[in-house]
Amino acid sequence: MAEIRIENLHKTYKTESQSVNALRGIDISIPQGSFLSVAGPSGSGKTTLLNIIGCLDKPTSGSVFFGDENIVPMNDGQLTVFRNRHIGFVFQDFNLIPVLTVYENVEFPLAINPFIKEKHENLIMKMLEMVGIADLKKRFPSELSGGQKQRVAIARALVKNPSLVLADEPTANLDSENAKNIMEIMKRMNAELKTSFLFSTHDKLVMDYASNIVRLRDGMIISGAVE
Amino acid sequence: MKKIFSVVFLITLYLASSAMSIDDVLERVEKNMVRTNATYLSTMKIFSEDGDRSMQMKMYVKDEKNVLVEVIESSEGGKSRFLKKNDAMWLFIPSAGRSVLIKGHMLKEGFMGSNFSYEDISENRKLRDIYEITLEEDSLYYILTMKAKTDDAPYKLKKSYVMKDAFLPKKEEIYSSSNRLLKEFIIEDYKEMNGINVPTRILMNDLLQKENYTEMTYDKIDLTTKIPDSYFTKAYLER
Amino acid sequence: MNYWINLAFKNILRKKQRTMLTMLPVVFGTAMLIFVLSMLEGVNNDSKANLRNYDSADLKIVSRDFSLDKKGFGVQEAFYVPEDLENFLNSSKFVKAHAKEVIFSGNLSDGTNKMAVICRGVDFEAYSKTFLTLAKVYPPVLELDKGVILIGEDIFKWYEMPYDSVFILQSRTGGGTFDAIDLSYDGLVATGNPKIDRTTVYMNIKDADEFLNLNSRISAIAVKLKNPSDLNRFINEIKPIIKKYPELKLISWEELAVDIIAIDSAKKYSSSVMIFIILIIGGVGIANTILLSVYERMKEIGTMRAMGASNSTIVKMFVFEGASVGFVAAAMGMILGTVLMAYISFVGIDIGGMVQDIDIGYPIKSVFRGQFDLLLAFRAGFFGLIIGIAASFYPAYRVVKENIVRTLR
Repeated sequence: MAEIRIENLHKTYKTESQSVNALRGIDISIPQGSFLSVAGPSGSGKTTLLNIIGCLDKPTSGSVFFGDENIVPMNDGQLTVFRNRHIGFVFQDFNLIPVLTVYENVEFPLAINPFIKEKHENLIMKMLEMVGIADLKKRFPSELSGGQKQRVAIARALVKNPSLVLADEPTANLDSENAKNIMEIMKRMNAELKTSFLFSTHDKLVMDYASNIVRLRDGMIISGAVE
Repeated sequence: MKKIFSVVFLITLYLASSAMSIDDVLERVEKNMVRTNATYLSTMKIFSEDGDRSMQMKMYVKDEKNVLVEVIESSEGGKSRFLKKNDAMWLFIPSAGRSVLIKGHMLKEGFMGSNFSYEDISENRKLRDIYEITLEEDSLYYILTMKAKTDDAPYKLKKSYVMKDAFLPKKEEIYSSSNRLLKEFIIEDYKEMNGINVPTRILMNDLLQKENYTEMTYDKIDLTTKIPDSYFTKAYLER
Repeated sequence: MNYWINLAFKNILRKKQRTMLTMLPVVFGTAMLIFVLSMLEGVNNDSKANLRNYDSADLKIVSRDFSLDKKGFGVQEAFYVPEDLENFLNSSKFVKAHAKEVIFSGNLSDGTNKMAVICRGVDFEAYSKTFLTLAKVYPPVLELDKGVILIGEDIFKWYEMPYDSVFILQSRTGGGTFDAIDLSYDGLVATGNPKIDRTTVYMNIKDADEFLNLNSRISAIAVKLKNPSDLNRFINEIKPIIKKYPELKLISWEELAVDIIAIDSAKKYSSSVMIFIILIIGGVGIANTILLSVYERMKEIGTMRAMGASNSTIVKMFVFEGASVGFVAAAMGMILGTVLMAYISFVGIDIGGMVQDIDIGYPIKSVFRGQFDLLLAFRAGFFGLIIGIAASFYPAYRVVKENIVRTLR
């Protein structure tokens, strides 16, 4: 999959009394292997943008191309399959499944993905080694530190080899030491696997790691759009 | 002299009695037992191990084919009426509001729960037609031995002890074919009215059950007042 | 698949106490279902066996006017046995044995107490081959001589007479004459069928014939077949002969069992409704538990959906949980139910003390026995499983209708 192109993206939330324009004509191009950060204050529209790119939400108008494939006209079922194949997520709160071990958490995307033919164990162990927690594979999330949890989340996002990983404030719940480690890991993964990373953040540290920064305000790009 | 008189009297009596045929005895008994145009007020008491019951009844007898019985009071509070019309018998229970024909096996059951069966009071046939009768006598009784000669006789064997002076059975005994005494019918008391001897207290004893008997006393007997024919109709029964 | 089973069980075990409480109604519902159905089935079988072994045989040939409900005093409608009918019964390949019966009602007295009884005049040899009754006499008898009487054990309680006493049986002859016969007591009949034990006495058929003046007429011919399942084939075979005698008719044991069957189906119906309600309550419990866990795990489910878990995967996951709860509960219910079933089947419940002389509608007197039926247990278990699955559909459906973005917040 080549680059991701976002063209003239609008998103309007309508409530009974008013309508809020969360995104107002966004155009971004994200080449394969990007390490891109979307920055902006709260309410600037960065989460909305990530949700649309992550196929979790639909724009009011505009297009999102993954290569030649426009995801906007897709229905829920198609979007689910698309997410399953191409997109990994890293969440601010890690969102690990508490009853499953580290190993099983990483296995989840494989368990729901019928396209992966390789032996799961190999993929999972390779991933755990890459994020440096292979020895913790039998632990449960409650037995891990925040940094370790986020490593699990990264392994989980990457194990199915997606073309894009979306990370919404991935360091918000980490101390700076751990945040740094996490960013190091993601940067390395980005380099080794050629997976694109897209962050939303207002953490200076994350922006320092980013190869590119798009700044949003009031639903519009004020700087850094990649053309 | 007195002694001679008694002897003569006894001989006369003996001759007179021995001269009596079975038919004579039956006829005299029938005259006392079969009533026409009689109204009774009677009390029936049923004694058994389960407890005693009693009921007061008014009975109207026009002849043996027209009998009306009204239970006017009973220890159980139930009131009912009973009509015998020719060969049919009807029972009317006011609370049920309808009358039922007593037939078949019901005839064999006790009249109003007593030891008298409906059959005991419904038999219209002459004894001669049902039983082979032989006569014996002793100083006090003519003893009639009645053996069933028809298949549908009420009893297999019956002995009737008829009092020589009153021409009423003092006692009737009912036996099984194997000569076991099953029931006893006893006339405990009687009185003379208009030239006939009317039983006033009778007992029916079930000998297959300890202390189980029915006592019937006639408190008032009226043999003169005419009973209207309308009493012996189903309409009157169900009134 | 292992992955999902593992996940389901881990999810169930998150709230152990809640899961246990949820399972209770299903456990007890399933156990009750097994217990009650086993009991009813056992009672039903015993009732039918009691009826056939002591009362009805497989089939009876009786007078057209024969009626069980007739309360009359005296002999049942009697008939002469046609010669060709007797020959047929002797030669039919279906017939194991047949026995003539003279059935009449009477009063039995010891001179002190009088009881209404049903009397059956029977021939020892033929009757022993057709019914088990005469094998249930105490002390055991090898013949039924003239002049003796066998008395149902519950009637006998009323008399307290010593062995060899003379009883007086009073009845009406065929013509209706009041008569009585002296019979000496020879044994107790204890079959376990209350209809027999509480009401019936047995005497030699010749005594009955003479006493009732029947001239060899009888009330019924009871027929026992070699194989009870041949009943309909036998009826087809005998029908042309019976048709020649319009005064006769056939009554199969099934017709005599209509009461039992009716009671049985009524009881089965009402207990099934009751148990069904228990299981529905169990189902609602499961639905409620799953719904609670759905709301507790909303964010987790959102995460799974974001990672590409399809709606059907999510639904499957919850249904799997519900089914697992249902299955485990049903399995526990099955074990409990099977233990109870084994108890009532192999030991039985003695209800003798409770219902001494009460008519419970079944021809069974003291010991209720269940029917041991593992298939029944499996069916009940399967039913529990289905309840679990059905109960978890709604909550699962509920969660996939949620907006993913909202669930992730």
